Formats: sequence, structure tokens, C-alpha cells
Amino acid sequence: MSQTTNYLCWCNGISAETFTAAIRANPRADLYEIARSVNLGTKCTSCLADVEDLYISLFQSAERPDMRVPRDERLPLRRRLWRFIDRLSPKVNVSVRHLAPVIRAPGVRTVVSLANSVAKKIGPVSAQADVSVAVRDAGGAVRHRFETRLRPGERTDVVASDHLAGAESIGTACVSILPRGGGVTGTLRPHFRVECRAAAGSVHTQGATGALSAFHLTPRGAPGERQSVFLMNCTGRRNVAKAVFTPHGGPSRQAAVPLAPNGAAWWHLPADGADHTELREVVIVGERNFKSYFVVGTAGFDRISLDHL
Amino acid sequence: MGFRFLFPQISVGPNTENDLIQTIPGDRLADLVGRKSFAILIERSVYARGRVLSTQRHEVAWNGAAWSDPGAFQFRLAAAPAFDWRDPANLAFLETGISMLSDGEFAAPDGLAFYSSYPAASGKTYFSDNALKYGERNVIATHLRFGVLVACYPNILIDLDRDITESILFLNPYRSTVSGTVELEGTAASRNVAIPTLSGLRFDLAEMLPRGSRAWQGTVFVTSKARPVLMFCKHSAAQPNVVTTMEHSLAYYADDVQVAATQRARALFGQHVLRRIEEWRGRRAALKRALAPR
Repeated sequence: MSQTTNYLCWCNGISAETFTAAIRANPRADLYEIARSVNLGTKCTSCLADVEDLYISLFQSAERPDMRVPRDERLPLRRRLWRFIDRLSPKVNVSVRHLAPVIRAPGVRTVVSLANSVAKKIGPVSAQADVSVAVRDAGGAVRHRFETRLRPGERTDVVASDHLAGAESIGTACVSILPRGGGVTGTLRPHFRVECRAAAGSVHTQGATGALSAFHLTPRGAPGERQSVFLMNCTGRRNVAKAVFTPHGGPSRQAAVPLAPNGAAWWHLPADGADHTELREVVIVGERNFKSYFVVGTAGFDRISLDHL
Repeated sequence: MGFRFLFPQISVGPNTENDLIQTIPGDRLADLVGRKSFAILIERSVYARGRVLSTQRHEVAWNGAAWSDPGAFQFRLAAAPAFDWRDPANLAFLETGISMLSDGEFAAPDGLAFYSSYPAASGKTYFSDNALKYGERNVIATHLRFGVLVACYPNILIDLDRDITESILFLNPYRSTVSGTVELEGTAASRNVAIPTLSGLRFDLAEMLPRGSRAWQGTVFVTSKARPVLMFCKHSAAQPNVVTTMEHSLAYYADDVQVAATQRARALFGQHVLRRIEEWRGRRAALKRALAPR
């Protein structure tokens, strides 16, 4: 084999040219159908990342005129200039802020989970990071602050609901992450768990910038199922979220949900609908930025899940 | 610039308790094309155990204001004994492809993210994002940087005394067998898993607990030279069809944590401007939609 051959698949000796020719011959076929038709990536499969990368880059060049409107491939002068400046510029670490809802109820607790985990296969390549968690109540008052530095391989859990008062209450956990030094982002995206007596639900946190609107389609669910929208104010000013609920074929209902600065509130959906699969529409529009999660629980809150809107 | 089709999306199928409802957002799809009229083809296939269980094809046209057949955007598959997750190989999945039939292009091949709902007649509803069959930038970046796919989920909780466990749902929408290695961080536990072509496999992480151990919490890693589609599902240990949440996996983020200061400054300025524009546009559009006569 020639060293200069542009092989994609070394197991079967298939070149990039063979692959691109196959795409031209059958431009509407599925990527993996094309790869299979030329015996590409069928043994060790390790070339499939290169195959996908090449496939996408073909879209982005004028290589597939049937798939993409051609454009001048040469970068505009302004972008080339920025690239040059960026290359000379000093590097900075980028911090991120995430928000998580916190629910406290009998038998229910919310745990914010932070992990800078290391996979044996690739080793400790992720950056260490300074992490802080601020737990606020529904009124936006800070009830607890936690700070730590997570090195590769370390993890920590913060039981955020323990810092809220009352038997039943809600709040937010604001997680700030500032990587230190170089490395990759790894598993640093925070998650949270809502643990009930005999079940646990988990989901990742979301960026704290928020948005002005959210839309969700939800099925009616089983009789007694509790569905709510958990709203978090992303600003330090008073906010009002206007919630519009439209059952299938029925008239819309509206509610205004006030949010304290950096506070939280939830809005419980009416239990309309004849059938558990009947879809209802929920639209939330904020006066200012907010973040929302969709909460679904069984009647006794012995099983809860949250999903981002 | 434009694309003639969207990357296919993969959704987990139903089980014995929860139906699958997939709703493609037609208005966002129209926005993605931005033409006065065009026609698309929606193809959906359900796979399990290496077989195609059903296939549907819908041709739908947009006339600038409405779709010719809005019902085509919704797909329902009812809970059934054939999807009993007590047998790990009974995991089905749905592949959805959307392509352009007329003149016109989609603005981005991965520009239409949507989710599926799983309501139950007597249990609890849950939701799940779909996964791209290919073209997922994080997956490609991880493969290119490390030579393997490194997927993880950092929030695993197994507590058999409280009936809590977690499964990895492996989906293989490709035409060759996919294998991967599962490891629980900080333990010696490691297990190889092979998923036959066009099949799903539910792998209960409780199987990896050391003998005598009933609980574990931490990060699970899946490494593979190929690219299985992965979901992480928290469910009852005694009854795997009773699901609490289903989450997409987290491709190990291979992005550098440092960026050029000039690039960062531009990004912050751009975000600020976009936010101001969004304030005007977003509020008006959402209100108009919410209050539109039906």
C-alpha cells in the first residue's frame, strides 16, 4: 500500500475517493448504506468517525451540489482577520452558570450531582474546575453556599433540598463552574436527582441565561398524575410568567405566575382530558428571562421526573 | 446554503406500560426551509431484534400557511406485551427520516431537535430527547480526539433495597453489530456488550454490582470503536417497565476549556445583542401563537 493513499478504511483498503464517488452515484442514500455498499467500516469500524466527518464536510464544500447550494469556499477577509487575531490572543477559561430546580417534600429530596469523572480508556484529560453551588428558596434568598475544587476523578453531591425550610417547599440551585488551566470539558455538566422513597429521577441542569418563552406538548397521563411547570427567574428583578394551557380541542386557559428576583414558582396543570394519550399544549412567556422544567409525578409523589422545556 | 434531508433521528420504543408518541414540530420544520411552498417525505420505521416491525411513509406539502396533512407529524405506538423490557432484547426503536421532495433545502441537517412522550394508562408519563443517528458533533469530536466514542452518565443511582436501578438502552440502527465496553468509575467492574444489527438491548447496571453489594452511585462510561445510540433509564428494579426518567447520554465533551480572549469577547457581545433582539421577537411570536384562534 502506498503511504500517500488517502485510505479511510485501512482494514478493507477503501479510499476517500471511493467513498465520495459512491455518494455522487447515489446522493440520496443513507450514509451507512453508502459505507456498506463500498465495504467501508465493516470490520473494526474505527474509521466511522472519519467517514462521518468527511460526509459532513462534503455537505459544507461544494462537493455535493445536489445537496447544498454552492458558495465561495474562500473565507471572507473579515473572518480570516479574526482567525489571525484569535491565534495571537491570550487564552482564557470560560465559566458557565447552570440552574437546577429544588423540590423538598415528605420523602422527596433533590441532590445536585457534580462529577469530574475519568474514563480509564482516555485517562485524566479533563480540566480541574472551581465549582460553587448557591441554594435559594422560592423568594430568591440564599439559604446555602457550597464551594469546592473538583480535580479529575473527583465527584461531590450537594443535597440542596436539605437547606430549604418547611415540609414542602421549592427553590433553585445555581451552579457556577470555572475551569482552571487547560484540558477538556469532560463530564463537568452538572446533573440533579429527585429522590423519592422508592424511585429516583435525574436530568442535567440548564444554562442560567434563560429564555423569554417555552413551549411543551404533554400527554394527559394516567388519572391522578400530577403535571407542573417549574419556573425559575434568571434575573435579579421581579418577573411574571404568563402561562397558557390549551387542552386538545378545548379553549385556552391563562394564568400569570409571579416570580421573585432569582426565585422560583410552579404552576400546576389542570387534569383535563379523557384519554391518557391526549396531547395538551403549554406555552409560557416571561416578562424577563426564565428557565423552566416540566415536572411529572404520580399522585402520591412516590415517583417524580423532571424534563427541561 | 441548504440540505436536501435531515439527519435521521432515533427514539426509544414503548414498553408494556408506556406508549410512544412522537410529534414533529411542523411550524419549526417550515421555518427551517423558509420557502413559500415545498413538499417533504417523512419516513418512519420501527426496529427490534434485527427486524423491521413497521414502516410508514408520508408525503406532506407546505403551502406557505399550513401543512396538507398535519396528522403525518404525529406517530403513536401503543404499549404491548411484545415490548416487555423484562427481556432485555425486547427493546424497540423508531428511526425517523425527513427529506425534501420538491425544490428547497433545509437550513441545517441537524436543525430540528424534538422529543418523544411516553404516557401510561396507569403509571407515569416520561419524556425523552431523540438522538441523531449520525452527524452528532460531540460524538465525532470525541472519536477524532480519543480514537473511540467515550459516552458517560455521571448521575447513576442504584439502590436495590429501595427498588431503584438504572439501565443503559443500547440502540443499534446500523447494518453491522456494534460492541462496547461498560465500566463503573472507581470499580474494577467492566463488561463487554454486543448489540446485533437493527436491534436494541437493555443493559441493567445492577448486573455489574460486586457480589453482595446492593447499592452504588457514580459515573458510568461506555467506550466503543463504533457509535451505538445510548439512553440512560432509571426504573424499578423489580419491574423494568416502570420507568421514572429516560435521559440521553453525555458524549464525553472533548472541547478545550480555554478559548482566545478575542473570540470570547466577540461571543459575549454577540450574545448580548441576540438577547436584546430575542426579547422583541420571541415575546411577540410566542404570545401570538398562544393566543391564536383555534
